[in-house]
Amino acid sequence: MASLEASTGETFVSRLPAKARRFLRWVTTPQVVLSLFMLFLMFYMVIIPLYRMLVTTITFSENDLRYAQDAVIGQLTPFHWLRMLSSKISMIMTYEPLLHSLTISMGATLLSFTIGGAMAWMVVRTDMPGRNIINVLATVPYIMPSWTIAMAWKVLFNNGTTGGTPGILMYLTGTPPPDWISYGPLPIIISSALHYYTFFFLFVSAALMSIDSSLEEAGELAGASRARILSKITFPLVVPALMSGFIMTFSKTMGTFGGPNVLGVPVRYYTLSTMIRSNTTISAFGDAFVLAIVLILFSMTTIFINQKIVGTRKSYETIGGRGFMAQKTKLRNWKGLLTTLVIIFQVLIAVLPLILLIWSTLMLRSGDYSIGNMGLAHWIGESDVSINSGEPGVLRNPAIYKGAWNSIKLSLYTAFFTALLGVVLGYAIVKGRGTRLSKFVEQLAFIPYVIPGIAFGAVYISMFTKSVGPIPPLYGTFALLVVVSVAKHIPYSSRSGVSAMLQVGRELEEAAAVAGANAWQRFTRIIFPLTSTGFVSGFLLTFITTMRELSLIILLVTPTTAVLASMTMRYIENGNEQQANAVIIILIVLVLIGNFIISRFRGGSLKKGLGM
Amino acid sequence: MKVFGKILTFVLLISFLVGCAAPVATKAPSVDVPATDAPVIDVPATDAPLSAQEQWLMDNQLGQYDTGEQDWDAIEAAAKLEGSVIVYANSSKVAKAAEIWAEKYPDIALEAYDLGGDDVLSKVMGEQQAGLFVGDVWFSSGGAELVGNVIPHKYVWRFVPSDLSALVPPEYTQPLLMSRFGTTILAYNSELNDACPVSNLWELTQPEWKGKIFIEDPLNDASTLSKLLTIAYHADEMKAAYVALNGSDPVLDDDTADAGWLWLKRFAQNAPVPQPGGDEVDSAFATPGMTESYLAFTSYSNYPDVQDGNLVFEPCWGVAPVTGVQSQSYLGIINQAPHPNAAKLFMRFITSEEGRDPWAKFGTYFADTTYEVPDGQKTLAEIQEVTWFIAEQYAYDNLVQARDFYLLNLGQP
Repeated sequence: MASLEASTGETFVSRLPAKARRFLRWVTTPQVVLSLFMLFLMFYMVIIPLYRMLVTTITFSENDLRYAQDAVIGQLTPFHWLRMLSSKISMIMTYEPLLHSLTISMGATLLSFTIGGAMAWMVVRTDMPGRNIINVLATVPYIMPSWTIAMAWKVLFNNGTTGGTPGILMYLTGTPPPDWISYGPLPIIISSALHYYTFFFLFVSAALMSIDSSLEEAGELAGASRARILSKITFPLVVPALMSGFIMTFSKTMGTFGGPNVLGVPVRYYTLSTMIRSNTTISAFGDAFVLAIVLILFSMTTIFINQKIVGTRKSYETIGGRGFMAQKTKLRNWKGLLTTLVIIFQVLIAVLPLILLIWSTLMLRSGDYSIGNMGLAHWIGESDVSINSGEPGVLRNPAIYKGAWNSIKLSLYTAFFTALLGVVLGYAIVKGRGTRLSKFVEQLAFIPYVIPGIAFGAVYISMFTKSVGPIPPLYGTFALLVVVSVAKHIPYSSRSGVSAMLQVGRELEEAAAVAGANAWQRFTRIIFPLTSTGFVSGFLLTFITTMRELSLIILLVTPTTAVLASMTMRYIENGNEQQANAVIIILIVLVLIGNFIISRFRGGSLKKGLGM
Repeated sequence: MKVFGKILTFVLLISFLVGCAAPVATKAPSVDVPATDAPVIDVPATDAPLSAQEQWLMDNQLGQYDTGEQDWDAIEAAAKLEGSVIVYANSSKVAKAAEIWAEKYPDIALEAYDLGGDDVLSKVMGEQQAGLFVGDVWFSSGGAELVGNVIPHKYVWRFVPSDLSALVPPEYTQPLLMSRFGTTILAYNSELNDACPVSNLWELTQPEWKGKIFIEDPLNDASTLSKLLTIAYHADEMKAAYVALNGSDPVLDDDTADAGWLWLKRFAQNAPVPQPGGDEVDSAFATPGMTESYLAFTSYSNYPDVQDGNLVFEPCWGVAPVTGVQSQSYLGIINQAPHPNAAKLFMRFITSEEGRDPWAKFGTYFADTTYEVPDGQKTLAEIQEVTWFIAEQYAYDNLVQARDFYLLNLGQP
């Protein structure tokens, strides 16, 4: 790439010296070089996959011969688009599921905003006791698999419409809860919101923390009313955080699978991601990718509209030289009650599911909650035909150790490269702030977020079985898992990178430049040390997310590269749910240990990893 | 504006890159069909140098060079030289089989990977398309895609160990050797009923069963869809069953070519309740202590849960025309496998009594007709009387249409 630029540069030099020199100077400034480098990387990791998806939707493949009359393999065709968007099945396969997906995403986002925002306010801006515990517990739902809350909902509110034994509510009251409580959009929204409220909680609490009360006091001194202070000072300062929370929650729920699967499928409440999977299972990739592209477009449009309404994202320097004081609202008589409520709420959605999960792995026969039925057979038991069809305990399965090691390795590699790219991206975007190139890079870095994981995997499998440009065929290698995971997590890392970089004032680097330090020295001696917390935090967030990621790599995992998350899948397929739960617990424990160790370094935290 | 010029130049630079990469990308879709070359290679005259694939087939007496006779001493000796064998399986029990193998053949390392049916399929397809020859043995179902996609592309080759050929009926060796059979059956809640409340598959389309039949979601499970398609495939038998129940010929709709598809339509219209997985189906209709009676399509091999008291269901054995659909797992040698002799040895081992032991439990059948089923289990001959064999090619050809058709009619009046 460098040589290409140079040669193009030279021809320009001979023809238009002044312009070319300006261009050369522009192109060699550090942030531009880095921007170009990132663009090049993202070209491979994001643009080519998108392009391949698009091509698949407009050409006939061999699999299409089954249902497309007179299809010619390789021929360009609007067939898949017409089929998905304007045929008799498009209503039921595209539009209804799209509506469902949007309903769930909007609902879950609003609800998580309410829960997360309220909790953040209580933790940061009140004198509520036990804030540390609340802080820790708030991140637990995010670590757990997303379907645990959906399962718990079913246990509580099953009304028998879709079989099974009555839920606890029906057992206690004797009357079945109505269908809209037991199944469909409402419970999916609630269970997703309970899972993802962590984002809003972390974003808003960080934003509230960074608001110096002196700003509000200044408003007060100037004679502004409380409402005016709230709307003109406090709210605008929180808006970027709300925006980030919105983006994260909305796009996560848009592609989510667990909740809709458990609570939606029995009442045929299908979402777009269910339909994408439906098409990939029968090798109708053209159709599947049309739906995936529709999903991407709608996610991006919604986010774009939202951005327009809220106003362009602004940044505020949060690190100042002066002292910092936040006034706390006194809760007075409400203190005890509110604290209890918050803790009960967190126990219900974080601790209880965890306990149930552990308990289920201790039950010899599922569904029998008596003490006599408890044992460690699913953990360390030898093969015993009377328990779980003779499946030995998970700790006796050598593949588990290998899978655990693979999981750790994958998460560490991915986290390292993602965090590194994050710092680079952050530097390129922040230093070039305001230029179109910077904006372009920032927007491009966001795209992987809205590509559904499963679609990402499906494209990568076809993309990397043959060599692409200078990259050899990676299929079946561990490197491919790392590449796809890094690509998928670029949005996270760019967020944390940008915000870490924003905290470093321009004057520091300028001072170093005046003193004669070159770009590399400035980066290694000033920028990186100052942003290493951001690096560690981005590392941590990616570590956790990669650890439990399944849909992204499920298609790319091969025997030698099997990870823990894919092993839970295997146990479930074989009907050994308790062992699957045991593997999930191992996973949670590994994440917690990782969380503990990593956050020892340079004070990184999950919060900062989210870009705050 | 200058910035604009810079951006423009930059875009030009990028399009150079696109130019470099684009040919690769546009060519790539043809990766899907590399095997179309293969038949051409078969044709050339004998004096032309053989292709790698042809040479491999000849060396290992597979494909057209397969005589059905094998010199097992030679194979075992060669397998020991090869030193290892890589198996892609769809069952976690393969790990147990590997332990037995390790005692018997300590010189040959068995790497048995429990991947699950879908992943065995995508892995073998991906490897073969990329020309990477890694795996040796296909030990998995694969369903419609295997018959419609993998075998036509010659990604897996048929092989039948000679000592097995006398024990296995020839129909169980086509297109590949079948290793074991699973059975999906219609079942009822045995706590609430003394006998199966239905006696004919057409009763499932009647109003009293509307929304009362559980099934693993055909929308997300190609295997369930294939089983429904197998019922639709037997149009004549379905027609006869209709006549037996109603006393008159079925009246076809415009969109139903025969009685089979008419059943599929009426079944879908009767709003069967989809569940995300087989376990959810079982707990939905057969949890002890339920008050409402449902029916479900479940797996016969889940019956041990009934014997253990975890579930309460019984199969509807007397249903006309059949109670369910039988499907199978296959054994085959993956194209251009690096350890072909060890692969053959593994196939002989895994079909032998000691090799198959981990699977020899209630509800499972082997192609070997000498296998004696556990007490209380129907024999293979008995269960084949009351089930149909999965129509894989038909299913593969019609998967997309059937999925659309099912979805369009699902729960419609």
